[in-house]
Amino acid sequence: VTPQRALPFVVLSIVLACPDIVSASGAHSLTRAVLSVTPQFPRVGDRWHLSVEIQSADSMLHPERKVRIVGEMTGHPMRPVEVELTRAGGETDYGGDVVFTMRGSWKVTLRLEDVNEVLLTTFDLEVGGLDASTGWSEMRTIYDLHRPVRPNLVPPIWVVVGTIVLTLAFEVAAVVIVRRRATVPPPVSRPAPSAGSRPVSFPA
Amino acid sequence: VIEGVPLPLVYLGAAIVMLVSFAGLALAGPRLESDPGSYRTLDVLRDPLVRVALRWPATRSLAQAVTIALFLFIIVAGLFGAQQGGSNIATLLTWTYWWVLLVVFVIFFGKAWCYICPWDAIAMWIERHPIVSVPGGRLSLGLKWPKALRNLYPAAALFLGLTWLELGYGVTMRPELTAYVGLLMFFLSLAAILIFERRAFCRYGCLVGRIAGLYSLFAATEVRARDANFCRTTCRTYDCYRGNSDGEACPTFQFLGGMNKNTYCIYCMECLRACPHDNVAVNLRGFGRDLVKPSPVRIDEAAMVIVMLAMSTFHGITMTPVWVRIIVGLQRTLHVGYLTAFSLGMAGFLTALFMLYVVFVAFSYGAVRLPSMGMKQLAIRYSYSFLPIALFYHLAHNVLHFSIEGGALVPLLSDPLGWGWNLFGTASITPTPLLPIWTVWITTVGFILAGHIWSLVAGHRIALQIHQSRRMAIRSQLPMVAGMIAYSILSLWIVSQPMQMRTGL
Repeated sequence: VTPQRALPFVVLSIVLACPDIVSASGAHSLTRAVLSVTPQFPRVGDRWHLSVEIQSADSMLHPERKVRIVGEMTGHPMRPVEVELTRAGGETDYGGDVVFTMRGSWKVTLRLEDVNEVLLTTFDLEVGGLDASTGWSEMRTIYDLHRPVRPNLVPPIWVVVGTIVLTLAFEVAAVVIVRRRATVPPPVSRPAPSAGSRPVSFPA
Repeated sequence: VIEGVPLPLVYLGAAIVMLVSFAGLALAGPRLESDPGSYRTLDVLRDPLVRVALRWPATRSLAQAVTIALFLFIIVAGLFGAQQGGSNIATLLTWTYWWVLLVVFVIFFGKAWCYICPWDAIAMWIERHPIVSVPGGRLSLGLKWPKALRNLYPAAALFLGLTWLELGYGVTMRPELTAYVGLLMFFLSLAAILIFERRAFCRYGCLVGRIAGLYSLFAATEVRARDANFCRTTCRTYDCYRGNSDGEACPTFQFLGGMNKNTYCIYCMECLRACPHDNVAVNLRGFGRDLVKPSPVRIDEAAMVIVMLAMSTFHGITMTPVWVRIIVGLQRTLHVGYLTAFSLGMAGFLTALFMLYVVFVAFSYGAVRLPSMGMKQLAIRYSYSFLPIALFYHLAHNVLHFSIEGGALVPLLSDPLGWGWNLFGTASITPTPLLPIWTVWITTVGFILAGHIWSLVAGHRIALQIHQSRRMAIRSQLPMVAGMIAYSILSLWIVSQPMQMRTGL
């Protein structure tokens, strides 16, 4: 069996078998928010309009679903700005206005709260003064939503120890085999090419 | 996270693609028929300082020490830092800086990444410094790489695996998984060096080296024999291939007298040290010189080019809203989980692009039949003409990522592990795009156009080598031009879509 012939079977096996095994380990799942903001850059005291479209395999409307925007000022101890977006049109569309109360750097969190879980994304935002440019009239952006805390799949110290142990194991195994081979004479030895001979063929 | 290129700019780009394609074919003149093997070069080794630096083994060790330190830093940050892509420097350094800038690096410096590769450096150090002494002093079984795997298929499989991990499993946004990928590459490199002779993994298995290898056909640098004829006829010791006390045998089994492409050279400079005849040159040259050299051409290289072409586009598509609709549709229709739907989508896209390529080649083969060349051979030859289009789309895609996400390095330098540090007082700075958005858009479209034009030229030169007359060459090339137009317009459409960024910013 050549690799060329085996490749389709390998690919098919990966496509069919692997994903569900991997999914069971709590890996990535796709829930995205397409966020449209008007205008592009918010200014202090102005209304900043947000529209959110939730995209996921499970994006049917849940009666209990809430979509919130939480803004926290970085570097200043201020009360967070929090707005719950309301349904707008389709089952997956939400909208609302946010007013930022101070110019400067903000950390904005978009939270999707379903019955069973919370998904969120966080992005940085610069809120300008009244004289600042508002940029484009509308800006669309896409965010992957994820769970609030992502624990390590494996404790990091185990990984470090495992790496060292595995490296040493590789090395010890190689040492044992190399030493054993050195004590056993090779069964058949071809004559070494003389210094003047040309190599028969070289790989292209 | 970025808004796509505005539609007027996309339409303008598409119009230029069409215009250039047909005008280019109509005007393609005899200038393109010149010998692709002859071009002007500038040997940087004529400068004594450069020569001494490149011959000195410690230069490489010092450069590798820097990349090893960075590699270990990324592993530590990935394992111990906050597990949010945007808060951990591991994902940013790996996917936004290294992976993105690698392509730019290859265009200018060819395979110079391999010169400083940390995986190979650590594995090599372990091989040369075994825990206990072994006969010969080198800890390697020195076995031959399996004959069935002496091609680019292992690297292609690894590349597909990495793409699956990156886009399906979300590795680019997960610091811990980023560290695992780094460790996996190290273990593959270590295992190969302990089991097989020379650097068989670098030659056949390393996806980074092989992608860079094919892209470096376009590179502005090359390592070559100053006089290849001397190597073939006068040299009797073949020190570049066999090694000697001054330099090692070529790690990737290259013989300077026969090497006329960059693909497998890893710029390790061992031949420079080993050659007793001072017959090695490190040349600066024009871009794309290796693309149209008639030989050698290989089916595994052609397959790798198509995989690279498909995966470059696939990267772009998965970051658009359309991809989410496709995946969601698959999940609902087939009642499968996300990863299964993603894997099916990825396999479907790859298969579709392969089949489309075969269809275009079949039209080309049907347009002008050649008794001396079958369809398979034609498919292999023409595949190289698609390299610039893949390379420049990759570049355009990466410009988007780098210009938008690159600024995040400033706050992350102060808080690399996301632990709330503020080492340099920059942790609270809001990252801003490195370039104005209009500059990014124009650069993106410009790269796509440049790739298209370069592919047209390369395709035409290849057609001229295959066919006896210019008229036949153009007839044969027309279907391939149609394929290039379709690909470029698809690329323009992708960049017009809003895009999700890599590191969860």
